[in-house]
Amino acid sequence: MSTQEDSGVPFEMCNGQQHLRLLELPSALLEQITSKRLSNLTLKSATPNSSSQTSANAVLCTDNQTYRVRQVQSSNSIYVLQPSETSPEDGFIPTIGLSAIAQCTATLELIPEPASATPFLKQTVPVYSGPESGTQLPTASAPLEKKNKHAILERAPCSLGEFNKACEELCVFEVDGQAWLPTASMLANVWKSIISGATMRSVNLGEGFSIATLSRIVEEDGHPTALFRAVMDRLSSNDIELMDDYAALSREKAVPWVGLVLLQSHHMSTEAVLLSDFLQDWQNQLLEDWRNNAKLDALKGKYSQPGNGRIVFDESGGSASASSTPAKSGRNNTRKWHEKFKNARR
Amino acid sequence: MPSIPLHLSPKDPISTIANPLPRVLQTPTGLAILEIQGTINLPQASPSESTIPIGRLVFPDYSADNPSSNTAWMKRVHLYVGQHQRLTGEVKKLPKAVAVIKRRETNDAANEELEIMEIIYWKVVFSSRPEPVGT
Repeated sequence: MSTQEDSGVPFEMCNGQQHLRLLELPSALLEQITSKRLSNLTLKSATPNSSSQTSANAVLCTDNQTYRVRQVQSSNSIYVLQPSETSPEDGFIPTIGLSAIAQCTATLELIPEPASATPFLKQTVPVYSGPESGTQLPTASAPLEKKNKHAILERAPCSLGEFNKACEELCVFEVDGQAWLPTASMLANVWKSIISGATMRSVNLGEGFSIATLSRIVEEDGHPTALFRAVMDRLSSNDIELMDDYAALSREKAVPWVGLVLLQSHHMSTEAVLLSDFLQDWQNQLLEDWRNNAKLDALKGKYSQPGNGRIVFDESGGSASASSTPAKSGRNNTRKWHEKFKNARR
Repeated sequence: MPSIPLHLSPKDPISTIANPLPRVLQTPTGLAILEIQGTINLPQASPSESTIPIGRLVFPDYSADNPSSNTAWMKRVHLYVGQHQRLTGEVKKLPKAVAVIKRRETNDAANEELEIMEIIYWKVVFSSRPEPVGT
């Protein structure tokens, strides 16, 4: 050590090289790691046999954030060094040197990618369009094993937080360990059942009410309780925790949601509906003091008017807010999802 | 998409011996990054040797007594390769901190787990050609 100033630090190559990877940390993530505010990191990588174009991708997820992982090759030789003791041939005192224990030809970069799990869920979760959906599985045509939300999350290219958010948006529900994605018309039916049940029992949905009472009515109409709960989660006010037996629905959430669900269920059956018919239907499906809020403004970006006083569901104009809407046109989104991945591979 | 947990710290802390590097390059586990534009041609290694000596790393302007605010020494680092060549480089802050990741040793071979061994902020980089030196 005493001669270090003169002769420097011995540098050697370790014969048995380790397999290490270098991962660049964006400053936000670094800060989370070093301050120990982060409990959990998960690397999700596609398996070779996984479907379609998502296969080239890997993502790194925190609890509520997703980073796309990009491998960047370097033409430079990058070594990871570790202090090591070396015994010089002629000396007795071992000197401390540096040993290259690994060479890394590539660095992994992280690109923050606010991921919406919505398109993935639409691709993955079986569609629930009525009680018969449950009995159809598994059939010869759809021999899929049961998948609950947890199993789907394992495969989803996004974080837990983003996954849960999308599940709530889409009212994904679970029955007997199988997750389901309700169709827009299914949601519209559930809502009809809720609103008529509430009227019948004079339950004010906008204020606190007992879920159990309403749950029974909706169940009698043939809807799964879990689906009813999912709708309640979707529409309940943020400031009131949804407790076991108590909820209040938010006007800001419910009015546009009902409009959208209705418009979409029209979209699935017919091409276009008369605007006046639609608005009337919408208002009829709302609490009385919510009806004034049933304006087209609430559906901004989610519709288009092809003329003749008609309205159709169309979210192409609402790209900015598109990912935050419940139950959208699956076909449209599927395509976007692929495009997204195609871009990511370049 | 199978999920692989990435642990934020190593399960088995690396036992470190004294670190011969300047303080700014020292990390808790002793790991550091050295980058060379080019490759080191290694002699044929005899399998019995655990290491192959390459040369020496010298920080000519560094002194442990320097205040940490003095960074002038970072501009000059020498890597002597073998007997006759010398690379000149510098100590640089990495644009982004880099996590060194390895596979965690587990009993369960089916479930892969990864861990961050260390987070490194600085590197020694040699980007110029080697120059001949006499011995």
